Amino acid sequence: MKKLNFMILGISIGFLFACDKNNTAEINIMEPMMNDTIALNDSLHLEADILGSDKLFGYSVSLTHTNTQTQLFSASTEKRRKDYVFHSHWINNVQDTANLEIKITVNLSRSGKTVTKTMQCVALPN
Amino acid sequence: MPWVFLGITQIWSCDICGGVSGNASIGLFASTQFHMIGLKTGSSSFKSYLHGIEHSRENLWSTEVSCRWQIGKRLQLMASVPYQFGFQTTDLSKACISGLGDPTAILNGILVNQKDSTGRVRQFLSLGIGLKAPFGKWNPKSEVRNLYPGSGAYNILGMLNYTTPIKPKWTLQSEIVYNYKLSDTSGFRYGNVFSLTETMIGNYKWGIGRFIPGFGIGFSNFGKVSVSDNGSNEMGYNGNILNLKAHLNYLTYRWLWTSQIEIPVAQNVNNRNVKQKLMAQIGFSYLIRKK
Repeated sequence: MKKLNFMILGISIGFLFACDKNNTAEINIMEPMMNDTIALNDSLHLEADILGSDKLFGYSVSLTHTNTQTQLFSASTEKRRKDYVFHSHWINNVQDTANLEIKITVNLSRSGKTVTKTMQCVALPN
Repeated sequence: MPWVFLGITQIWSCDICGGVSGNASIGLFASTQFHMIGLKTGSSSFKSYLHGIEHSRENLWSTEVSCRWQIGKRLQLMASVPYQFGFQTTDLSKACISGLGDPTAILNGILVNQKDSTGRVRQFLSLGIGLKAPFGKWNPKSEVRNLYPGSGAYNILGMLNYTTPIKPKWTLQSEIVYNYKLSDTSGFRYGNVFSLTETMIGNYKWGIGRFIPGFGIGFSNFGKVSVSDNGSNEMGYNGNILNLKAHLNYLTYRWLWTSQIEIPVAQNVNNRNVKQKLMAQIGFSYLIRKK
């Protein structure tokens, strides 16, 4: 009986990991474009979609001020879907020129396999 | 350094849900002659898409106090005030906006009201004119302005209602509603709405009252949203919805119990980027018989 239990457990775990073994995702950032500049009080429009080859395990988005390594925004989801899409706005109110990095990380598997895409842009003061 | 990040989800679905828009109706009981005061509560849900991928889900719960007063034999005055909860869920954010919606007043003139010797309606025709006033909660600066219960603008409503018997216990009601929407103070204008509804209404004695089922089909056309004072900058978000409708009502001497469900069978609002889901509503009214 014990052997049977171990076999069922082993098969279940194997099946879970086999499902997402070769999963891939394409991250398309529509906006902003690389090295776009954002004038003071203008908004940065961030829009992207994520297309998976199979069901994905969520994603995270972050916006970082790279000069100071300050994370300005981060959000994530663990919703399982094949495709994702999102868009957001950030209002530029910087006092000094700021290099910004947008980072999107997609979880391809339960075991922590990820794919990442980054995009840089510049926020201008006055 | 003061950074502000606004999680934005631009949706326009509320305009078609009955929350912001004035999807008013004279209703199935147009030809009755009692005064009414009642409460209705309902839910409607939507899904919004971007690049063909599901982007957000919206759910609107609205509770409405409504009344109808018979001013003589030829005039009905109807008024309603809604209170709405609007929820939106995206992958990365959740939003809930609640408050009083825009109140609506309708003056319905009865043009034809022919009855047979048993008191049953042979022909009923009414023409209503309504006004929805921008007293509800709204926010023109919000990116989710459609989730707000108020529109910030006046709406002018025109309604034509015709009822005629088709079988001994069934009547056919046809209703046309046109909702002309004005701009709000920021120059934003929701599109006008035209709707046509055909409903078969039964009438059966059951227990101490009458069981009144209804089945119908409704078509709605939503005009383009526009921005600027003269409405010249059109933004789209227009389209059509075809709905199947079912009603179950129970009428006693003092009370009217109502329920309604709507299921869309075809729709193309905002290039199919907004999809209306099930809509359901229940309510009751206290009836005051005319002396």
